[in-house]
Amino acid sequence: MRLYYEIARRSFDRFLTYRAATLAGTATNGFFGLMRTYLFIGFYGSQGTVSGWTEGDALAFVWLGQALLMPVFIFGWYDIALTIRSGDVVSDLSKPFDYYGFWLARDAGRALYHTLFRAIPTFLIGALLFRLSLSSDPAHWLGFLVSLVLAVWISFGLRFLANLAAFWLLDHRGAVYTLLFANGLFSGLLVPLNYWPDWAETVVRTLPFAGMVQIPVEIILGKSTGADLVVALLFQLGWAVGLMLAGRVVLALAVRKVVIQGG
Amino acid sequence: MAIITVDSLRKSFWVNQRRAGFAGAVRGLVSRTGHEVVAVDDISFEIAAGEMVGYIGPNGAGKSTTIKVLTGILVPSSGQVTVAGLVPWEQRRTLAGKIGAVFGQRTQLWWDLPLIESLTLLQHVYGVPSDRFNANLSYFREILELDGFLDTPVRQLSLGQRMRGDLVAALLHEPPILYLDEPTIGLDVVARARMREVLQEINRERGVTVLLTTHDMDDISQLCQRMLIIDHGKLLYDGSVEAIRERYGMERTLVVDLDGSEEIEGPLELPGMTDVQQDGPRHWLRFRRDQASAAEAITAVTSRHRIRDLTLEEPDIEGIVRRIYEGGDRL
Amino acid sequence: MLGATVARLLEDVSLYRIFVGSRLRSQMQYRESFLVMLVLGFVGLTTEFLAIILLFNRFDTLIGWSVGEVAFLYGLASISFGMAELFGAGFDNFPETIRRAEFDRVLLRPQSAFVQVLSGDFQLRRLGRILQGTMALGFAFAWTSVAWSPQKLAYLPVVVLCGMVLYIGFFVLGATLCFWTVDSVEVANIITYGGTEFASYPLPIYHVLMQRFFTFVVPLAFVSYFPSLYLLGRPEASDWPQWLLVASPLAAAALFALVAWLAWGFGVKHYRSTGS
Ligand SMILES: Nc1ncnc2c1ncn2[C@@H]1O[C@H](COP(=O)(O)OP(=O)(O)OP(=O)(O)O)[C@@H](O)[C@H]1O
Ligand SMILES: [Mg+2]
Repeated sequence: MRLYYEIARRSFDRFLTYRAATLAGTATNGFFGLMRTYLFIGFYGSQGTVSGWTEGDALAFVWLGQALLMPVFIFGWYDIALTIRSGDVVSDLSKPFDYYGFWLARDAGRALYHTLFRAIPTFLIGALLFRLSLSSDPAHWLGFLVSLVLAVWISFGLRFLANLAAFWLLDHRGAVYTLLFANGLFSGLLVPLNYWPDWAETVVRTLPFAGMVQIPVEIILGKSTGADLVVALLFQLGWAVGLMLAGRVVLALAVRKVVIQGG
Repeated sequence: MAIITVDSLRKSFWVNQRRAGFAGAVRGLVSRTGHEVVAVDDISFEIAAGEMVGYIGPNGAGKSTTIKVLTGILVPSSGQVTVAGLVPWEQRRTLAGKIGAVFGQRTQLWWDLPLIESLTLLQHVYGVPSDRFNANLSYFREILELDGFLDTPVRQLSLGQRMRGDLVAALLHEPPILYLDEPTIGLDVVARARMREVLQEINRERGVTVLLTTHDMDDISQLCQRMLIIDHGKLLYDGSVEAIRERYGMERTLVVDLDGSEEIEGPLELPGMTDVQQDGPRHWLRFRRDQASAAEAITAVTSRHRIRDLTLEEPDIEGIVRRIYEGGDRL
Repeated sequence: MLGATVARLLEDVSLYRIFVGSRLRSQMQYRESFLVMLVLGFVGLTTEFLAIILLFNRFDTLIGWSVGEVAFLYGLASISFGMAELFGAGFDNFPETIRRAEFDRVLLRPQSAFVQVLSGDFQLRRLGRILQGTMALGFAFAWTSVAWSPQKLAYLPVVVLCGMVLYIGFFVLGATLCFWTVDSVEVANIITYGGTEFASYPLPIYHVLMQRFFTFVVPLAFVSYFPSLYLLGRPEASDWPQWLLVASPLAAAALFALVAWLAWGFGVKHYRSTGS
């Protein structure tokens, strides 16, 4: 455990050096947050509730979405795919640690950094400028924290798989790229799932992506309470574990391929 | 007739300081600190047309910076420079047609194109008429033996091949001036010798003025009559290579480890040699190349002392610069 | 004087074509990869457009604009931006050029640094955004009942070109910033990527300060919202002189191009290369 803690800490520290990028990135998130805020204000006009959400809910969603973007979402994460292409993966695989655990620890360090230095500042911008309707029940905030951790884990599971695709595909970017757009659409980041046509919403809500943005946001908005909240968290946990297992299976296949074909 | 004149040239860079650790990163978000690095400090010299001048100095001395100012890449902090009658950073485009440059550390070619295609692109870039281009290409094909790899993408070339490719690229438009920043870096002995021959031929046959930086003293002594020595941005020496060779290049150092059985305090007394430094059983013995061969020097030592090990050190540029400082002599 | 300028311009254009041609040839070495990225880019961007449609599924109008009209704004912005990306991406990619000191090489050559950088990163796979914008425009034509007179049809490409010039201008300004700091270029992305998103929706939805910023500082509204008022025959513009709407993209593009050009010239003089 100690080892993984150290790995996570290193990863956290490494991000600390990118301070100008952090500042600029927060400004970017803030700007996009502003634009999306006014888009929803424009759409709502004088309407009270649409698809179960008020304007305040929608604005809270906008800023939570911008905030979660970095910890959960992270664009174009090719770290593993690049080691596969360069061949460094072989030495990583032969090191005396659990490969999945190694990368998960690194990602945890990264996500913590992004939560503290990107998500919180971004969210504060929105919270200071606009009235966001967030739940006042501490249980929901606690639920949100758990949900956030699970969201990162799901996101990691998906990225891990997409990166491993580089073992088989010629172009290491294709799979990650595809994932990126699936993430944006199906997580609810672009359009919250409750605004989708009912049939589409039902389908998309069963996918792991829903656990990345839609579910945590609904929890802190106070939209899922009591048993619903527990079910939502279990849904996330189920996917996180499922993706981890899938990741380990695919990794085993990849290792066999490397051993047999020499990469 | 001076084709390059440099007068009181000075170039400094502002370098930002990054703070370490977490607190540093947070503080760094708000304020920045830094300091000024003077890369080139009040340098003046002139180079006549047709000369081949060596420009040497230890790492970070300011050589590359000087060359970048002379090409028009960098605008100096102060001072006057003319190259072929032009002010490089003001008349960059006109000047570019009159100079060629090879930066050994970094290729000027297109990474993913075959060499020949890079060269034809450059033909268009420099507007070289087809007949001149073809004539030059066949000339360099021969003297640089390009034929084996003209169709290979640059990223797949070996270092020596790439360097030759870069040299052709710098010369296809027949520039009267050629800057070479470490053109022999990383080359093996054979490739190095070949490169020197070619440079000599270009200088002799085509009258190209050459300014050359290197860390290899042999490059200088075989190619140049004149050299400039720079350190910490200041010009330490401008004069003949011969004089430096006379003074320092002649001096070789024999490093001997005496056998432990012999107890000797203080410097060794040997004819024609000075014991310049001691460290336990290890002695540094300096002697002049024109007074004794290495074999004679070794015999002189071994006939008087029992030694366990020895090495012969040739003077390198760092050593010469150090000695110029030590001796306090500005030549 | 004029003759010399024209000659130099022609030389620049032919050089641009030569550079782009060579980039294309080297990309064609990896044809499969190119096609995959092109298709993925297109599909990926389609999610953006899909988002607009999904929102209009629950909300009927956006301050009186229909889904077709917003699709028009979106398509216009995408095509202009896509063309800027296609033809001027060397500037978009400039931080890398600076970090690797490849600008040294640009300055060594007897050609305009501007043209060399402009043509430095031509990638055909960026066609994706243009295709995507064209598709959106197609929907806009189908979903709105605008009378497309020949004048309007001829004017549309002019607006697109002005938009392209403006976006390339942003790229150039962002690149110019790199001569001082490569760390903060993400700020420039706010203007380019953020600006495209901004231009995809009707101007009045935004806060008045944002409206002013994107009208008078970064004159994006002049190549999207205002000409669209004229093209779509929107009521907002009924009491404004029509020539003003029609001329504004040209004026904005010309002015902004000039500013970007001057800034670039100033920046090049501050290039500092790298220490190794
Ligand atoms: N772009 C730059 N930014 C900051 N400092 C620089 C830059 N270019 C050069 N320097 C600094 O200026 C000094 C001189 O550098 P220069 O590259 O001219 O040395 P050099 O003599 O070519 O050394 P070498 O033999 O290692 O190539 C060094 O201290 C270097 O760190
Ligand atoms: Mg150097």
